[in-house]
Parts: sequence; structure tokens; C-alpha cells
Amino acid sequence: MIWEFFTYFGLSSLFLWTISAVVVYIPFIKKSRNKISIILASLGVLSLSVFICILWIQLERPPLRTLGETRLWYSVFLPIIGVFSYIKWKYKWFFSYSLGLSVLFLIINILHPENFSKTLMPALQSPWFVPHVVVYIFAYALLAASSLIGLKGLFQLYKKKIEVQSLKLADNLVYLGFSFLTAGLIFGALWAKEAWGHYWTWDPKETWAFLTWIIYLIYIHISYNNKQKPKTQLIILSLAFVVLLVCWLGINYLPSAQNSVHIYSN
Amino acid sequence: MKNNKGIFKKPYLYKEAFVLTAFILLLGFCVEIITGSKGVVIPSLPQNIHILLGIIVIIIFTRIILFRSYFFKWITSVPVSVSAITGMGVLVLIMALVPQTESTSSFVNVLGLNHMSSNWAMISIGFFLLYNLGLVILRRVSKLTVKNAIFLLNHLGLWIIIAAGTLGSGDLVRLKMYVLENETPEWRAIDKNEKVYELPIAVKLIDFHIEEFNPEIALIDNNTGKVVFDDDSKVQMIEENQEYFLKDFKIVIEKYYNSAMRVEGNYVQFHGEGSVPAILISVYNKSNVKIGTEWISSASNMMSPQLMAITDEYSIGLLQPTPKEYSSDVVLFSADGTKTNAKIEVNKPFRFKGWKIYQVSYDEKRGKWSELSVLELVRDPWIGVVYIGIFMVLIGSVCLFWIGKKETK
Repeated sequence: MIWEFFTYFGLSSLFLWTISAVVVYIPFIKKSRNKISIILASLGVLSLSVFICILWIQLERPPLRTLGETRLWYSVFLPIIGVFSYIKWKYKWFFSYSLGLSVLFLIINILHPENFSKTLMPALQSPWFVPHVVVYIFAYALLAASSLIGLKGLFQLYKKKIEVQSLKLADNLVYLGFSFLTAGLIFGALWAKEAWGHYWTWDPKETWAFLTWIIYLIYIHISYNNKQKPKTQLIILSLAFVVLLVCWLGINYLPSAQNSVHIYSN
Repeated sequence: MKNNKGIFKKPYLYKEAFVLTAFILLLGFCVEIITGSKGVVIPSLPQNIHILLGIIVIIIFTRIILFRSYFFKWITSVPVSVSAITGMGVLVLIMALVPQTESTSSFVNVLGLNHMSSNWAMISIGFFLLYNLGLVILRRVSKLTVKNAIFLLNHLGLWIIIAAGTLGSGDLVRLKMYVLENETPEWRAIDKNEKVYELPIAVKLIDFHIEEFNPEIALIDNNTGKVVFDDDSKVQMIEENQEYFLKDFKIVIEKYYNSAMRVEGNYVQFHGEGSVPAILISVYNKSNVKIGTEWISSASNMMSPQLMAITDEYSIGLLQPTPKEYSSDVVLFSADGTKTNAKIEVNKPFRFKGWKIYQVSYDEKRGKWSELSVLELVRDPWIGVVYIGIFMVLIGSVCLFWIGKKETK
């Protein structure tokens, strides 16, 4: 029974990430705490990745169909983003934040164990399934990270001390996230043409995905020559995140979207 | 100082840009209202090519004649681009929030808010975007540098997608064809308004084939009739020789018939219409005492399902098997005498004489025994151009990922 395995893998990743997020702040091991936290975080990623592989093999289909299954992938990608950003830009709070978010998703999955059915409708049996969904998950993880830096920035602005470095980090993450978002949107269109006859049909999820793309595009152009006030940039970044959340989660609750092919199946 | 500048005093920045965009949107909605909100029908060849050429001519004309004017500097500035994108965003937001179906609200109907994809406001902002984007591309394309190349890939690629996607929709044909096994070839198909078209190609269905997943066993709530999804009660796929646990109960499969018929309370193997998967199960409670041994089965169009009640609260049931794959073996004929065999499967459409044929659906009530196959036939002559644009944007976004946002100090 695959879900019995999950508790072991899930809890070990949870502990590894929690300890890693704390170690990075411990004062008396300043020389080695970076290495230790990165190693611990990576072990957590490894543990959950192994579980996803076992799950994929046992289910005989990519574990990307339900919301709970995609949460597993987020839990893997967020610490990866956190580790790389920490190595490159040295932000402790961002490192701990991405680990914390991963732990949150893991806790949700542990408390609401998945059904893990083997069924997968024929339309989803396509080589496009994995690239389209995985690229989107990665994009969302990057953009969510950047938008939360935006929220932190707004908070700093309120306290009258804005960190320019924060804005640069947010910008970089948006560029990265946006390139994945564009790729995800395109993969979806190319897949739609092979599966459903047309590359764009204004399905509710497509419409909201396009809106998410548009608002991050607006952010990129507004912050292009850095002439804008930080406040405007940060507000748009936060607003963009709201649109992203509606696209990712809100769709499943909107009455007008119930007939979408994109509703997570139960 | 900027706040006291007033409007349309140089330098033109965001205020002026948004006023322009608001005007463009207003113009579009006015046309929509005046034309009785019937929506825009994009014309087919050759009119759509004429429109495309017209747009290109206007852009080039602006570039050549107005290059040194303040207007050109403004219309290719970031604020105008941002406002144009925002204008499009506003219309897409309306599309996301207002159900795009029949409406009883006169406000929605008069403004055409329930058919935004064919609303004149969309056309208006679309032209404005193409105009702004086209001029921005022409302004930037001065030297061949790496940065300019990436810019071109992303922006020109997007221009091509918008132009070809919108204007090409005038030549897009999507038709549904219903074919029955072993009948004479079908050459008629219907569009989404149920208008019948006679096609230059015909389809004869030899065999519709469907493979299903094994059925799944689940706990059913006796009061609501719904499946119970709990931490200790999951829906599980039946595989031969296995034990299953639902809450405190152990279920052992004694017999499993993939295809059976209920005959006087018993089940016999039967391979024909109306058959269902059926399993003979022994159920044990948590003290390992056997509660009973009974048959359960899912439903077909000829039989109701069979459940096994185990307590006042719960029964055990077998869920309808879901399709794993389905396809149609067909012979395709064309007016010029060509004849081809083909297998049309979900996610694997077949190309024939300029048409692409998709497997869409079947008679779901008859399930495995469906003799009906529903196919979709699509003609999309502009798809090649759209793919060029898509390819350019894809490469552009990979480059963006690679280079990121360079410091320009």
C-alpha cells in the first residue's frame, strides 16, 4: 500500500527540512552551518524524490493527476529553489521560507492522505502531460517565491526601509519563473492541438493562465528600466500572486469553471 | 511635480497611455453596442490576408513617415505597451469572471460581455496591440546583437501568434462526425451550431475499440449512496489474488469475472452487451470473523449494480470501470479516389487531405459495446504560421531563462 510508505518518506523530509531551516541561523557553528543546512535540505529533497519515483512505478502513470500529487512535486521543487537562491544570493530568510512552505505542503499531504488511484483518462496519456504540468509547477514555485519577496518588500516599505537587493532577487525570480510560465503555456497549447483539435479554446483554466501570464508580463515591463517606484512594482507583484492563486486553486471552486478539463480529478 | 503636470502635456507617460487605451476599449465597446452585440466574425481567405497586409502597411507607414515625431517616440514607449497589455488583461478578466454563455442580464447582453472572444472591444485592443508591438519591433531592430535577437524572438514571435491566431481563425473549421460501425462511409459532419456540412472526404468505421481499467472497489455510505473517501477507506483497483482493506474490514476476492451477467442472483461469465465486471468477495470484520460471501458488480445499461451491505452504515460496491484507451479503425476516402486505412486514437490524430481527424468520444451509455465513434475533423491552414511564432517565443523564453535580467549599469 503506497500511502503507508508516504508517512515514512514524508516525515523524514519534514524533519530534515525543519532542522535545516533552523541550523542556518545557529550562531556558534557559523563556519559550517551553511554546508550543513544545504546538505540536510538536499537529503530532504532526495527522500521525497525517491518516494515520487516509487509512486510513479507503482501507479504505472505519472503522479501528476490530483492536487495532492502535484503538492508533492511543489514540496520537492521549493527547497531546490531555496538551496540555489541561498548559494547565489545568501538570503537566510528566503532559504528558511522556501523550506517552511515545503513543510507546509507536506503537512497537508500527511493530514489528507491521497487516494492514489491507478486510473488515468486517455486524454492525459500523452508525452506532453509530464512536461506541461512539471514546468508549470516549477514556474508557480518560482513566481510564488518572488511574489512573497514582494509582500516582504511592501512590509519593509511600510517600515520605511526598503532593501534594493530584495527587489533584484524578486526581479530575477520573476524572469526565471516567467520563462517557465511561457513554456508551460506553450506546451499546453501544443498538447491541446494534438489531443483536442485546437490550441486555444478559452477554457476557464486557460483564461486564468493567460491572465497570470499577462500580469507577470506587465510586471516585467513596468520594472524594465527600474524607473518605477518600488511601491508600484511591489503592489503589482503581490496582485500577480493573487491571480496566480486563483488560477492554480480558485478554479476548482468557481462555479463557472466546473466543466473545465483542468479540474483536478478525485 | 508629476502629479501637477495635468494631462497630455509632454513628456507623455502612464496617464496619457492609459487614457489612450481606455479610449480604444471604449471605441470597441461602442462598435459592439451599435452593431447589436452580435460579435465579430473573422473573415476567411482572402479577406483575412488583406486585413493582415493592411495592418502591416499601416505599421510600416507609421515607421517611415512618423519616425522623427513625438508621436512615434510615445507610441513605442513602455507606458503605452504596458497600458495596451493591461487593456487586453481587463478584457480577459471580464471573460474569466462573466460566464461566457447565454445571459439574462441586459447589461451583459448589450455590451456583449458573454462573448468576449468575438467582442469588438477585443478586436479593437488586438489591433492596438499589434500596432504598438509592431512599431516597438521596428524601433528596436537596429543592430544585430544577442540581446536584440532575443528581443526579436519574443516580440516578433508573439506578434505572429496574435496576428495569425486571430486572423487565421477565419479559416479554421472544426466539425464533429458521428460514425457507426459497418455502415456506408459518412461524408457529413456538423459544426458547433449543428449546421451540416458535406465534406470532400468520407469515413467508414470498421471497428471502434475500447479498453477499460479494472474496476475499483469502494465503501459506499448507505444513507447518501456516495463513495466514502477516508484515511482508512480508499478506492482500490481490483487486481487478481489480493486482499483489500476498507476501514476495519478485510475483503478477500474469491472469484473475479471481468465480464459477467447476473442470472437469478448468481453471476456467469458472459461476453456481450450489458455485461459487467463482477467479483465474489468474502468479508471479515476486525476480529477476523467472516461476515459473509456475496457477489458485487458495477452497473451496465442493462443491469443495476450489486452492492453488499456489511453494516447499517456501509456497503461495499464496485465502481464503473473507466476507459484506459479508445480508438477507431477506419477507412478514409477522398473525392479524388484516394483510399487509406487509419487508426485514430486519443492524442494520436490522423492527417488526411488537409484535414486532421481526432478521436473525441463514443456512446458512453453502451461503454465497451459502443458501435458509435465520435470524431472531430479540423482544418487549420494557418497553423504552420502560428507554430513559427510559438517556436520563436519558446526559444526566446529559454534564452530569457539563460540570460535573466542583466544589470544595465
